[in-house]
Amino acid sequence: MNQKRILLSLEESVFSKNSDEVTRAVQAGAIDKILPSDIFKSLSKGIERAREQFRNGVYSIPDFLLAIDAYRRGIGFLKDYAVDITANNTECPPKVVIGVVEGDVHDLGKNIVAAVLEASGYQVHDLGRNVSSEIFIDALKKTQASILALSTMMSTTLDTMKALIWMVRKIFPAVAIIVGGAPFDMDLARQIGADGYAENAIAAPDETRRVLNNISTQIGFVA
Amino acid sequence: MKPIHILSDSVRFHMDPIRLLEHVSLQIGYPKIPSDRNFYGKIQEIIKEGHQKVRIEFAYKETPILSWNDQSVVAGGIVIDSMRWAELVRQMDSPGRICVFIVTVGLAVDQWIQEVQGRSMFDAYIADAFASVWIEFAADRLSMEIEKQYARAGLECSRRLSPGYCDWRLGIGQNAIFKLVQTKDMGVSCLPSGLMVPLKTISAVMFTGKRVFCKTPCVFCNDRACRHRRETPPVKAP
Repeated sequence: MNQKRILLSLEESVFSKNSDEVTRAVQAGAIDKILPSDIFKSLSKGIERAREQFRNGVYSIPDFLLAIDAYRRGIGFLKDYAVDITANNTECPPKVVIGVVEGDVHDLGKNIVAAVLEASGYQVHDLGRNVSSEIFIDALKKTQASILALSTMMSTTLDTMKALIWMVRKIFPAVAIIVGGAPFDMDLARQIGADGYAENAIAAPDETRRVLNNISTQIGFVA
Repeated sequence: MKPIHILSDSVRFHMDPIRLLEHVSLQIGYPKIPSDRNFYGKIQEIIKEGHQKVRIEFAYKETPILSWNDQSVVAGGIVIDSMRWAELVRQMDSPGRICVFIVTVGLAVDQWIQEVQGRSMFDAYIADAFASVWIEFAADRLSMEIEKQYARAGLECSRRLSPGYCDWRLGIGQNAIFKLVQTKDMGVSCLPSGLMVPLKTISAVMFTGKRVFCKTPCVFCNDRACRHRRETPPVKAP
């Protein structure tokens, strides 16, 4: 297989939810001649097409997750070979700090969102679940992230989340904040001070882009 | 009133494999039996794997209802702060006891779902659905057993009410239940947020009396959009 065919095969395999085909493509002889950033772009294109299928009602959530698995198979290959996917990539991807707030350990949804954001070109720093506000603040300082993504499935942790958002607003006014999880709709997201709300993992990249652009405009430049 | 020892350790939790497959499929938004053979096979594999992890444990306590008003129901060692369920008790003939229970599919299931996430998000989604179906089944099975045992004593039961549902606030409700029921032996704990660990655990109360005319308080409730609404008409008082 030539390089172009391998890249097309990777995109198509992710789109068609076929992890085994991803493995076959990465095992093709010429893969080591391809720039890691090009491999990443092909895998991401596959995810973008799968997202489109979901938005059009063709894919269900389980279908989309099969596409995520195929994408992760490809990314796993890059990581196995200790390849830095940002090498040769002149663009600096926006950084996202993501986690489940303190008091909650439901993390399946958050993990799916993290995978989708990564596939959409964001550099994701996943702090895990039941994460204290101090750890979130510390991570924002260390990573200089421009987006904070917070998740909870419970209503009793909303006060904690609201207090965290208030602190982040004070310390990092340029950070865009999105929230997600069972208790939320757009109204509640606004009430607790977030910039945006992702109804599901598939909507998360678009919503992240929107809030990032909004906050960039507010502070005087466009991302 | 003498306590009724309603449950024995020998309550059996057996779920028919076909029924389980149907419920898992419905839980993830698919038809009862998915037409895609590959998909069907994957779900079956995960169910098989999950079965080895499920270990149902439960604890319960029953206690007499002492008083009630339009805000809450007071029973021995627990206060149920729910206006709607207080109304349900008010409508009962001779309110008698409440039965409080906690049931779990076990910590091994939580750990298994975490492990599965490492290899496949699809598999983890199915595993999570499998565990949700199992815990709902276990709580239903336990509720039915409680109802059956009370029926032998000539008493009727309401449906089960869990903290966080209807107008019973999660934090307050979990706190009340965990003060009453001993859960150390079954390995269940509750965080200050009201979250129970293992995640696939249900806590609930059931109200009993000579006649329970409304099984749920939906009939007194105007929230027509509630996704948990049950339209069962009340039984007419003689």
